[in-house]
Amino acid sequence: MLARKGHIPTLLLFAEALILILTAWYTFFTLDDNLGSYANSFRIATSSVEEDYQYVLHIAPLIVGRAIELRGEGDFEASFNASLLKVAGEVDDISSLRGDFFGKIRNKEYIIKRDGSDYVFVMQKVSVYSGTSGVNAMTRTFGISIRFNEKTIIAEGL
Amino acid sequence: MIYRRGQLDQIITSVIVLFAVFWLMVLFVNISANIGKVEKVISGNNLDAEKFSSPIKRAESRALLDMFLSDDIEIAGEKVNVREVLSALVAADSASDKTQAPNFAKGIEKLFAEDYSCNGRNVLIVAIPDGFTSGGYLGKEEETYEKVTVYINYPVERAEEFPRVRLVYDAGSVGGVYSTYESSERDFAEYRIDNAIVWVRGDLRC
Repeated sequence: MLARKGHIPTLLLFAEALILILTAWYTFFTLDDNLGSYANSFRIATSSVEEDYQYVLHIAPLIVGRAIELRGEGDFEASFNASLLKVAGEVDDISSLRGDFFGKIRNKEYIIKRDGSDYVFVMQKVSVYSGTSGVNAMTRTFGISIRFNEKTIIAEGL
Repeated sequence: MIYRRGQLDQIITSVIVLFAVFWLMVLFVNISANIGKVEKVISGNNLDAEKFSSPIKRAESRALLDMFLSDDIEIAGEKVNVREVLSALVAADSASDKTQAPNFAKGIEKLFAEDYSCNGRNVLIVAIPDGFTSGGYLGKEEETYEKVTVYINYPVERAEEFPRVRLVYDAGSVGGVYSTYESSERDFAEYRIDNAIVWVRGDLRC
């Protein structure tokens, strides 16, 4: 009788081990095997944000350069700002950027700093974001700084 | 004595149970290792996708293209937007006999060659997907007008050569060739000039 009672914890141990193993198996077998598509959506979101980030870094100096080229006569800063607004508006009509770079130019959310005979275009907290929504949404925020004079771009950076 | 025998029984049973659990775990590890082989398939798919994922090159191409399309050329003394001229070029291409570039394409060629080609390193490509404008492949794959290359109704089989074109093709609601790819704003955004896909390929930044 006592010997039989002694088996109960051992049998319970065995049963628990079996339950643990079966649970682990169940988890494995019922795991969604569509992991590739999830990875793909992450890859697309990451790639899209990186692409738009690079796009802003590339197009910002091109726009500033064209604005310098097409500016009118008179006060440089005033004519540059007017030209920048026009050029950015034209590019914005075509661009597929998902971000607020063009909006910030439209709303004049940038500063032009004078530095000797040069100027520095500074835009802070520019955002680009992925097209996906919910848990996979990604946003990248960064700053732009472009040094230029009245004729050309001198340097660009973050 | 009975108590001692009970302990001995427990020890023997425990050893048997441990042995059984050990072999169950071996079986579990073996099955898990076989499940792991699926990873290789996933990895292969990712390798296929990698040829579309060059965000820096695509960004450079988009930036240069947007600047180009928003630029102006002069036709008969009037400034006309490049995008509008390209639209006319595409429309003329689908309507004409495709033996000659329309005259107004020369202005586009000149502007691109001078300001955007970076001494010939970049090429502007205008691609009209097969079957979209004329209902089929016309047997004329490519015409090069100096710096402007227009791919006309190339067959679907050649889509591998044009990764960005393929992306648009894959968006079933645009090209109608494949219907499984999820369409996105981005795919449509790349579909810029009426029925043509336009992009810049090359070293891009001067």
